[in-house]
Amino acid sequence: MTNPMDDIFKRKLDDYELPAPMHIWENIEANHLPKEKTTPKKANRWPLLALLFMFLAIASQPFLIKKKNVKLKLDSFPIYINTQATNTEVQLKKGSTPDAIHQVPSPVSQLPAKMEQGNGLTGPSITSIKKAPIYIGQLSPNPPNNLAISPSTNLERPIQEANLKVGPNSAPTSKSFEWDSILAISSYDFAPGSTSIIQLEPLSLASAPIIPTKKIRLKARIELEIMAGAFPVSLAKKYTLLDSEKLDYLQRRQSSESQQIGYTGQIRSKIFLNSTWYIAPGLRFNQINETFRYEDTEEERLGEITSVFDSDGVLLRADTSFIIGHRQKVTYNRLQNLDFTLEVGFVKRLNNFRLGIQTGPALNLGFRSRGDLISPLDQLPATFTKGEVDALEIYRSNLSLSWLISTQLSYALNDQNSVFIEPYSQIYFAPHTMSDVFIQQNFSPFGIGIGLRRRLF
Amino acid sequence: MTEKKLIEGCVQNDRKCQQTVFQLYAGKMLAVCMRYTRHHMEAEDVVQEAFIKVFEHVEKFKFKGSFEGWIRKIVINTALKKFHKKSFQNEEIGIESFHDQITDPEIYESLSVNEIMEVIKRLPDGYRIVFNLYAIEGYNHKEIADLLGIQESTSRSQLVKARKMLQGMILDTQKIAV
Repeated sequence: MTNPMDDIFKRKLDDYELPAPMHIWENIEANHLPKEKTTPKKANRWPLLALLFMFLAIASQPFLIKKKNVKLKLDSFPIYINTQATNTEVQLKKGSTPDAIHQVPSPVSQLPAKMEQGNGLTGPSITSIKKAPIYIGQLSPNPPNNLAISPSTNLERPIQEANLKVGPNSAPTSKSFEWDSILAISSYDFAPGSTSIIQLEPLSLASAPIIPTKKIRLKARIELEIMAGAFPVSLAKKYTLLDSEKLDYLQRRQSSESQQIGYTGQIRSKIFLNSTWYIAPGLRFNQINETFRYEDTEEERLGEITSVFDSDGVLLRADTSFIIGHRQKVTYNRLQNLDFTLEVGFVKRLNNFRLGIQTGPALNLGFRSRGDLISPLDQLPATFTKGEVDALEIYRSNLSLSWLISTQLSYALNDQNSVFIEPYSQIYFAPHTMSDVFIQQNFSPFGIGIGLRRRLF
Repeated sequence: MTEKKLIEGCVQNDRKCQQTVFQLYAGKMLAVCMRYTRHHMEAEDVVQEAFIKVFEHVEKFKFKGSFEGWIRKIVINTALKKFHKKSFQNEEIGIESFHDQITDPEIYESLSVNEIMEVIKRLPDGYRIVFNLYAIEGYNHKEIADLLGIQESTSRSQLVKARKMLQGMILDTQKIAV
């Protein structure tokens, strides 16, 4: 049996309140509360700097091409004369020096790579492009009288344009020569039995350096690699409990999260400083895969609260009902990060195989996390996907610095392409979780990758 | 903002959420403290201490029952720490102060909240605390005994005495009014 005084007093006092004493709040805020968590948005300049560096590294590669200096050797400047008749005499005007003119047998395609001096004929030598015309020889008075003048296939800088004069009375005709071309001269006016003169006055040399027997090779060697790898997340993941009273919660978390296989993808360029050492800027992507499972066969949830009022509208009581049921939830958690890498390494070659080791820092450009976990607040599933309503702030948005180390065994398929296998490890210095989370998590992958490499230069 | 968001904000030490919680509940809790303490300043001290505990331990709230009820328990426990066990055992009240029991509930209905607060405040510490816990907060004698570290029988006798004293004070008030 209730006491009427109790009931009346309770009813009148239950909702009784005084004005909120805000001076007390000011005191609490100033002296007793921990610092508010703020996440100031800092402009993260590091990803921009990393991308700029990579761009410069790639864009500067053409400047690494070392052009071999082509020295103009005018003083060794043979001129080949191809005659269709074997008995053509080529005589030189008195006063010219021999050794620049060689007779070659027809057809022209059999032009040898080099003619030695003293091979039957003598002729002038060209000492300067600007000097006086060179007398080459004469035409046979008997047909056929085609005389081909080849600027020579062995020249570094062949004649590109020259004044050609045939016969004593003809005016010089400017002729252009292409590389390895044969200039045929025919039907020029000359008297049978007379001695004609062919004058070739070089006007210009070809601008392009042409060394048919030699290849220009760059000093720098640059390669491009693409790699795909995998690693067991269970080996990569490490928990650290900061609050010893939360051990039960940690065990619950561990039992609800099962680790799968993580993936790594990387693209990098290798710029060789010499035959063994190189630097390798690149981009690296990691994905951590976990499965979150939650099951409660008797989960209790607040159903509804029913308020009971008397005829005067005064609250008499509030009845609360609960719902009990079976709840199951499975979520595939994903943690993804993109890093800029800058490694140094060296290689050792043995036939078609190449063994290398490389190491260096990786700077995180971005980190994304999505999925569910057991909430520390109410032991129920809660999302940590950034941007979602009521998401728990568990993971950071940037993983800052990590360290890479890997070895690589490759096999050259040909001069340019190789395949390789590469065990690797990436160690993150800071945890993936925010500093105020009492269970710190760190994922440092250790896996194996396979890839392709192509030599660019 | 829902209560759940407020609480989660408090867990994250969000200042705005903490201030909102304080604004919502501090007035009511101050009124509760006024029934347990002897004067206003002491009540404010209890409110401050209690809310510090609320913000420190808010992550322990499991969303079972009302948040106000959870805060109220912390406030009451904090208020009770001010009193020593001897408060419930050593108080002596003269029997000649007791009056006849009031039979007409209208007399209680006619009292304003301030008048009720005033008569409760005039109770000795032990009577006041037991009366508050039993009649207003709804604890039973076993719970009160556990809370205060006293015997159940002590709780019962303190309640009876509290009621009789309250009735006497109320009747005195009515006589003066008449």
